[in-house]
Amino acid sequence: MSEGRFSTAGAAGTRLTISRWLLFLVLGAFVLVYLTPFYVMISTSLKSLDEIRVGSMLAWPETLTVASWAKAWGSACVGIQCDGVKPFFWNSVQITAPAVVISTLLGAINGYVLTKWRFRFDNIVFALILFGCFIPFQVVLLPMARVLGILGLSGSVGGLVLVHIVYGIGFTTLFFRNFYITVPSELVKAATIDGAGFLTIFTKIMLPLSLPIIVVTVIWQFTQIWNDFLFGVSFSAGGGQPITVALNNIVNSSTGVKEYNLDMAAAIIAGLPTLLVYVFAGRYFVRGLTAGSVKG
Amino acid sequence: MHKWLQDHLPKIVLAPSFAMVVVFVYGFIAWTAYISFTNSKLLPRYQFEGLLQYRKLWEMDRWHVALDNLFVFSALFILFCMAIGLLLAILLDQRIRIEGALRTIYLYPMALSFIVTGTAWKWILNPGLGIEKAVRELGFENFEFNWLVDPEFAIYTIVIAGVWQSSGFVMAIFLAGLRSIDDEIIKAAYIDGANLPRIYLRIIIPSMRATFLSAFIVLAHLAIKSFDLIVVLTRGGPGYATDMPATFMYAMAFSRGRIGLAAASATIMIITVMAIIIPYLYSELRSKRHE
Amino acid sequence: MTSLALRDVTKYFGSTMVLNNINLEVEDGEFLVLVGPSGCGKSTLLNIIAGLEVSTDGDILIGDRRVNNVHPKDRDIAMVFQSYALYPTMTVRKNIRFGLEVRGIARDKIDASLNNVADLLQIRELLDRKPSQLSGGQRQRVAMARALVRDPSIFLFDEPLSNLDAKLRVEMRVEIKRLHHRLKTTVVYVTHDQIEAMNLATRIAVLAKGSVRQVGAPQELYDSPANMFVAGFIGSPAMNLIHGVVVKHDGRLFVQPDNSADDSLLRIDHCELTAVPEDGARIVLGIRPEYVSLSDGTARHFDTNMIVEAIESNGFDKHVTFQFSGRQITGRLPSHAEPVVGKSMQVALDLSHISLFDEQSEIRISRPHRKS
Repeated sequence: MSEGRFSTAGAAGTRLTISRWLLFLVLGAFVLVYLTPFYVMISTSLKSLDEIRVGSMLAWPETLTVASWAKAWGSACVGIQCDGVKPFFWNSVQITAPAVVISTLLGAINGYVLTKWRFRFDNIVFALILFGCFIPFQVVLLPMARVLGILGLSGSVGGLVLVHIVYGIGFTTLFFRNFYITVPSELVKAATIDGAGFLTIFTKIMLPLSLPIIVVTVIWQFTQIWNDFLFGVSFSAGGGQPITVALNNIVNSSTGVKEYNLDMAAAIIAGLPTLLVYVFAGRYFVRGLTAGSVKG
Repeated sequence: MHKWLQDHLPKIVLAPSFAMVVVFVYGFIAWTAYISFTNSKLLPRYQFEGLLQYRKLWEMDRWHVALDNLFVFSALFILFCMAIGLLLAILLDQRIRIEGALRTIYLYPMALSFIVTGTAWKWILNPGLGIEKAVRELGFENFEFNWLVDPEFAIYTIVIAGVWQSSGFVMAIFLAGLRSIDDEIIKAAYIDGANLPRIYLRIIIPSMRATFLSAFIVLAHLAIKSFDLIVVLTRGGPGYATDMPATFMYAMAFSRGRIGLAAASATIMIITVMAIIIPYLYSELRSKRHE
Repeated sequence: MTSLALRDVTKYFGSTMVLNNINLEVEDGEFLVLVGPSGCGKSTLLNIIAGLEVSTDGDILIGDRRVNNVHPKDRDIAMVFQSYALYPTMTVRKNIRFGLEVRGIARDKIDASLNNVADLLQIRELLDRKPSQLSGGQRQRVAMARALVRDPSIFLFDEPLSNLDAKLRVEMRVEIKRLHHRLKTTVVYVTHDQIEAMNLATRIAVLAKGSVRQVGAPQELYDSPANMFVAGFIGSPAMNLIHGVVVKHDGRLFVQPDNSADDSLLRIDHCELTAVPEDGARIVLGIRPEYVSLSDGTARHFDTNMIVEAIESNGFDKHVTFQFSGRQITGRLPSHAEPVVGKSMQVALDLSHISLFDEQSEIRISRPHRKS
């Protein structure tokens, strides 16, 4: 068994064994740190309010109850609507699905153009598109609100779809462009000589080999859009809000008794989709995270 | 005609996205910047009024609180995220069998919305029922932890929640950076007689300058944009004790009907971001040209 | 019939001139190799012939048709790339059929061509595999099949063997030569490897810095290089280039090498010169290593003693590096010879096979050798 990153012959003997234990101790402590909030969320959501008020937050429920879950889903009050988070969950689905698909498609064809069909100033065009990823969105909230109003899309699911597409293009183009740059141009040359045109090359050759980056992009976009709050709270109202906004309304509602178990249940429902995606396809998510940053 | 179409098809295809970016990013930035120079309140007015809003901004105590909070938060957030991220990355670099599982655990918070994790932390930090109570139950009867509602300490609760959420990400970046270092350099150092800590300090960490910079840029960017976490944890309160430029801007724009002021604060935000990102991108591009 | 003609082809990338007035004519059935060091413009020239790049000036004619503005797919050409460029998500079968399907050719015709080509290149068993499941040599054959199936009038090869290991390279070279002999299609082949060029070509065009330095049959370039660049580029080990001055002695012409220990004089009056140099003019004498060997007493040899610097044995003979004229020259000694590093030995220069160059212009001044 190799000790640490480097297997050493004639190393410090027992010194290394103690360090190994220390290593696992520290790592284990961090595991607790990272998992405790999640544990607290689950355990609290399964407790009754009485138990919450009396016991310690770290204790596992004495009597398990899923009442909060049912209430969070179907009957909790968000603003004046008391249908639980179900309608807002559905809103998020309606916003996220088309926005993910369209922004990914646009990113793919943009990346294709920018890497395989070079033209004058294409670097500048890419830089301008890319820069959109970095802006703090506060700077577009006001004009966007006005434009959505003019287009008749304010407060609606459609408006948020548009917003997420527009501000997702920067990232998706970046991902595909960085991926397609590693595809040899000789493929395009060969296809050109074979007689394939611009679109044929894209559909018959580039797209089929893009599966890895499509997965990364879809997962990234899905996570970003589903988890968004700023655009949701700025551009939606009442029944058209995504689930993150609804959750915040529940948690920060100033009326009534604070139902912590309800809050936790609602939070878990809101977080479940992206969490599940992460659990099952996590390494693609990480690839997305590090794709943009390490190389810069 | 058909040939012209074929020749220009790539540009035609790119055009819609480019147009969208030009309008919705640069056009909007320009609009917002312009409005920041007007006396717009609830509705936009287009008469140029100079630095009126910026003067008003700097006269507001709330804005100063927001700026202070931004600096304090950013400094602590970046510092702790980098420290914890680096520590975890170095520990995970030691060839552990369960590395994959550990990485998954350290990184999962990034998959969740700040609202979701903020909700959890809001409960954990709840004065009376959260940590305070749990620690008291363990025997420390005089333990007090009501930072969440204390105007002076509330900002630190946001730091705690933020660091918890993002340090896994930093760890991922650092781990990738650590692993990209050529093994042979390390083997040479070993033969030269250096021990593990010295190798990390003298060789590995200095080689990771670029990674540190990347992480710093990403964290600074996250810090400046902080909005979700504050809204759910403290709503900017108590009062406006935990306000930050992002929440300030939102309040001015959508609750106070002072869009000129909001535009000014937003413009300040983007200038700050650009001041960090542009030199970084410029130096990256220059170093790439030298390669 | 001229299969391909390049007239005054020039190419600029920005303000950098990459190709300078290229004029070449390729006859039907020829195997023309464009060879030269990296950066000489050979790949750019090939791309221009294919239509993948546009020349800044000049004309490209394929079979007497001016094709400057014709799309690659309509130029009746096929190309084999260095990295094979096989479509990674398609099977070998689909890869080969792709170009024909795009053209809308009838299915049964495609199948017939496919079978033909598969037999020709012996890739029948590979037809249903994906490129990632093939070895380098198999991929190269599939790439050639894809080109062959189009039955073009010109084949273009862009350094197709550079990615193969040495042994495979030799095998594929034989294969390509065999195919050319059988199909008799015109080939334009780019490589940086002059051995490959010598092996495959019916004619070689040596390019350097965007210009054609010499065009001719391989043996012609070997025996009579037109300038010092071609002299040093073609042939391995490289031709020895001895710098010196012209000496007129008793009405005869000699070359006195620089830094000669004694006043050695190399006779050159048996050479036909295009222009007779002055006494004292600078000159370069080129002599191939095989003409630097053991003395055998015949005339037109220059015998001298040289110190051995290095020995490389390849089983068949020995390449020995000697000190001479302040520089080094290489000779080829029979394997039974026993040179000793550091010791002096008697070496003969066979002056019946030399090339003379003007030192400044680097151009050949002795008439090309005729095969006697």
